[in-house]
Amino acid sequence: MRVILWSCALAGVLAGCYLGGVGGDAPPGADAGPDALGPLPFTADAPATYVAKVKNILVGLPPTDTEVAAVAADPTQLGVLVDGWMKQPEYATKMQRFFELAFQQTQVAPSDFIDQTFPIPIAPENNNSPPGPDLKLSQNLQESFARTMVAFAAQGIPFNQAMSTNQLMMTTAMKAYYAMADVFQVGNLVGCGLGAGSEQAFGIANPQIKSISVTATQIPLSETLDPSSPNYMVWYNPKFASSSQCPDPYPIAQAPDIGTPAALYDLLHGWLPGALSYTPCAYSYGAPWTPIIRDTDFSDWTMTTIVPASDPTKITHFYDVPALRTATQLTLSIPRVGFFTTPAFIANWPTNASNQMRVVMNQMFIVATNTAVDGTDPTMPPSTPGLDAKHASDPACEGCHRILDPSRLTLATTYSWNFGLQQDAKWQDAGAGGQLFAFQGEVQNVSSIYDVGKALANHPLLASGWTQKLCYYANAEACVTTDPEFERLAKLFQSSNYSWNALVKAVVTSPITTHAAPTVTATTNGEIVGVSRRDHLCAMWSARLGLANACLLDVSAPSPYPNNLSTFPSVIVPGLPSDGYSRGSAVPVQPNDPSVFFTGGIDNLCDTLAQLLIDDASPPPGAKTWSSANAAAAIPEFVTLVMGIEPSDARYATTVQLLTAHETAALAQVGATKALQSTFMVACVSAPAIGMGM
Amino acid sequence: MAMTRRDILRASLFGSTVLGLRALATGLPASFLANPRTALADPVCAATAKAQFVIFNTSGSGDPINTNCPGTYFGDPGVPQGLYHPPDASMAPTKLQLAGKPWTAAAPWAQLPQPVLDRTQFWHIMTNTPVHAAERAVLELNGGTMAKEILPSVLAASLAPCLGTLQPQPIALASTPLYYQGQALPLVPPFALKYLVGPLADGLNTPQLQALRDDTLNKIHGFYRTSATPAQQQFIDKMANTRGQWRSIQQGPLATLANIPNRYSADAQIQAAVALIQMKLAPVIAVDIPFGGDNHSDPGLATEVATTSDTTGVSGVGAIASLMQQLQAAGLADQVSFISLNVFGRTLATNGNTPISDGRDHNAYHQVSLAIGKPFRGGVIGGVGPAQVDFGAVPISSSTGVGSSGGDIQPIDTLGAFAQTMLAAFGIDPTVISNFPTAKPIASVLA
Repeated sequence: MRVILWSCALAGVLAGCYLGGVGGDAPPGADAGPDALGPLPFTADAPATYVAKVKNILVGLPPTDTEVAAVAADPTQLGVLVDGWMKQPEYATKMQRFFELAFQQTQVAPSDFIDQTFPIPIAPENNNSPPGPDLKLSQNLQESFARTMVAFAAQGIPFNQAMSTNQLMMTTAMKAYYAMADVFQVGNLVGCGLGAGSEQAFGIANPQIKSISVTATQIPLSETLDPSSPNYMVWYNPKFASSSQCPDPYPIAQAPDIGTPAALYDLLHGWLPGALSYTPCAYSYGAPWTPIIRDTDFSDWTMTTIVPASDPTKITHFYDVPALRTATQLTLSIPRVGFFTTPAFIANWPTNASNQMRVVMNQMFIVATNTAVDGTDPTMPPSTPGLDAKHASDPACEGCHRILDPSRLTLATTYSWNFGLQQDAKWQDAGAGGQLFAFQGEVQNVSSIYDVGKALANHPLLASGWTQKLCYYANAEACVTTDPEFERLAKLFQSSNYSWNALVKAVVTSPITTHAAPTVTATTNGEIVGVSRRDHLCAMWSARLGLANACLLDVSAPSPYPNNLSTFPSVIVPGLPSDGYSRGSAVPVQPNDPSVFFTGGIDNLCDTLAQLLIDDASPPPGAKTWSSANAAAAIPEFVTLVMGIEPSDARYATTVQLLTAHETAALAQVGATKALQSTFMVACVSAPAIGMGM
Repeated sequence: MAMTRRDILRASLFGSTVLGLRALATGLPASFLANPRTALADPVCAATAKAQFVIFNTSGSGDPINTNCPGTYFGDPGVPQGLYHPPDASMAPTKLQLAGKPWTAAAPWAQLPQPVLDRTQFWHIMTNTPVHAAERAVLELNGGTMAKEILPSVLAASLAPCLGTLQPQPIALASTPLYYQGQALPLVPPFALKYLVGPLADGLNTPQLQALRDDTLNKIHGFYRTSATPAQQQFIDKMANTRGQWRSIQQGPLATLANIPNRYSADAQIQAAVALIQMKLAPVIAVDIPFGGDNHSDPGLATEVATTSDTTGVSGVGAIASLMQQLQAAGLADQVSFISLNVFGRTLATNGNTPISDGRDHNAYHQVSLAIGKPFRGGVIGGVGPAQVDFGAVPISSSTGVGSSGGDIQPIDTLGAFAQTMLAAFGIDPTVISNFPTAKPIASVLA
């Protein structure tokens, strides 16, 4: 259709004549009714459209002429192309972000972790410029499980192991945090009643530590960590200033003492323990100094196996950082299973003495099966261990408690409300009469948190649930679950032994995504052409413009923007529609209409990008840049790279011509730099650039 | 004479001399391009005189608004014994007058100015769910609205043409997802508005350059539209619509947006809501004013107390007082109503297996909605009585609004009655809400 129209198109546009749409002579707007009138009649998308869509979904890059031509000649070639795109690093980047959201590991700040090791923060606060260790570790913790799943997918490990794995991608800083949390467990109440008792857990695991001292005299770390050395547990810290009242070395903690692990953890991050602030021992901040846990310890990702500690004296030492750097195994007493025991998930979904793990369990069901407990599950377990009879006696509450209470019992018997080990005898014994997993028709006896992980991994709704999550990701809308094509995809996922890449390939090459042929989903919902939501948009800009962290979504990474521009994306991006999740809901919130706010936000972001990338004397490393001295070369690239319209597309030449005309007209008003920047803005805010499915 | 930005826009994107060209290029009806502020809204305004802007407070946390308000203190008409209130001095039972009738409430409520109290209603109603995720269902009035539209959007669609707002869709400033005609609406952080509503003040945003960009964009979109599928055409049209709307935003009040603090909290939301109404951007603005949150575990009810009695404007009654003060200062006190509807309320006497003094459970049977504004005569609508293991809403008399066992509106229909009364208050046909057998608007409580 484009080929037929394009030859007269430019003349028509410039002359103001309406050229007619796909449907022929229909008057403007007649074929694009409002949503309220129901779905539009199905119209198949052309290869140029769906190749662009699929490639954008998978890697954020624009299609090439060759790719579109290959699919136009033989639609089965899309699968071949997808195989190639899935090998590109951008695919891992996009999947990582998808997994971060889908496994609900995001939407947390450093302060949200505090309950798990109260009062020890995940890392000492720092100012945010440059990002401090707290922001870096918080980012590590949010990325960890997603990175694990990306690695699993690359290795062909069945996806459903996400629910029960004891492996995690970890950095050294993370390993130290996990191991510290294991000996600084918080009980059912924050601030008091430390269930396991930090001094007991730490003391049992570290009977050889009698005291910890700090010195301003430089000594090798190996001596500090060597129990046979006279300098054992004497920590070098040049910030310490000795005095007559504070001789060097100065003991800062005696074991067993509740402050011992806290003091040790602070030292690793270069901080002197807070207790020193309240003594006559002044200390100075002095010259820059590299702490024990250094910058590279936040980026040395390693697949790590977490082994349950059968002996409480064999817990991995969190303070032995050199050993942690090479460790591929941690021995911990707190069971770490699947996606739902990561500190990030727990920080997202804290529980308390009243809720008693119900919210955690419900979010686990939502992540694993895309189904929430809402009182409509007809499952009738043969018994209901852990049932809160008082609550369940209320008919309005019975439907939820009947499902949630037995299933969360294993969580409650294993973990304290702050995810130490459960030390309350009442709860430890609560499962003695038997524990049960009961959800959406699946009922089985369980005896450990590992069994719960396996029950989730084997749940019949896992395959359809994750297929549906990909429907949301690709199309910003649920697939119709009775659509035979949807059923085929879910079955394929299951029969492939939960091959994640097989499912992704099947979904993006399916007419459910391409709209190359009608499906029940398409005819029921209509085709959704919507705005690129935040994560697609940001990945697209990063990939196409060479701008790592284009939207500043990674708060621990450097900003590509200079100070005079960085405010804008940091303020605007939170206002862009995202794939965020909310409590108790299996349906992500996915606005896909171009609202007034989206329009304004994108305009201002494109304004910022234009200033960053055109005639900038010091652009960020690796960024795609243009010079107004060569606008004739820049404008075609705006069309191909920013708008994703390849040269063989019938719309290409006209688009270049319209943008060139804009640049020429702008030159009459402003200088060459602003003229080209304005031209970039037009391309950047245009429908092909920001529309998914254009 | 120098051209103003509006002059440029008028002469370009929406200029009468080129309307036909723009319509042809974009495929948009000329009527829309001529007047984008009203073209997308329901063209029928049935209640100009009664129409109000609405600030709609809603939360999925089930905050304890219902626990310390008028209608929950023994000794007042119809209030049973046994309802627990935190003993903290800042929440001391205090007498107040609602449109001339005496009631008792926690002290913070009594600190609202008398003119505000005289137009403040406390609706004791039942949402019939203890599930957080049912918030959308509650806003859909549990199946009571047409086409599963949520109440804020029902109000917005009807009020927009009367108020002449830029868009008919509500604006969500808080974390509750809103929907309009089936479409999810963006969650807009209040602090982001300054760069979402207005263009950056730089050399790329001279009126002439903006007009030139809009013109090029229109040509590109008009061109792409010629070969687009219906779905793509629809998207292009929506882009053109919203761009036109964005360009027509009044620039004057933008300075107010720049002063919104860099946070999500209620004080920032309220400041943003008032500014957005001044700009006539939308008829309904959704906010979330905390009153203690999901306080299952709240030793001494300390969070409930602190949040409700805070006077800094970030939560509780203090935030409502701040809102009323800002509306008064903006000359909007008689044009804006405040309504609240949460997913559920909290228990009034029990907390499962732990004492009520240390937390409150979900209460499917009792939630208090607020209605504050010129259309409302202050008072307590409905009341409280025993329900299951705790307390719940009692039937309401449709003629007087009084709660008692003899009321003709059953508890299950009190949500519908509340919604219908809100519609009636704003001059909207209450019959757009159905499926409540005994629900009906309570006309006698309106001013």
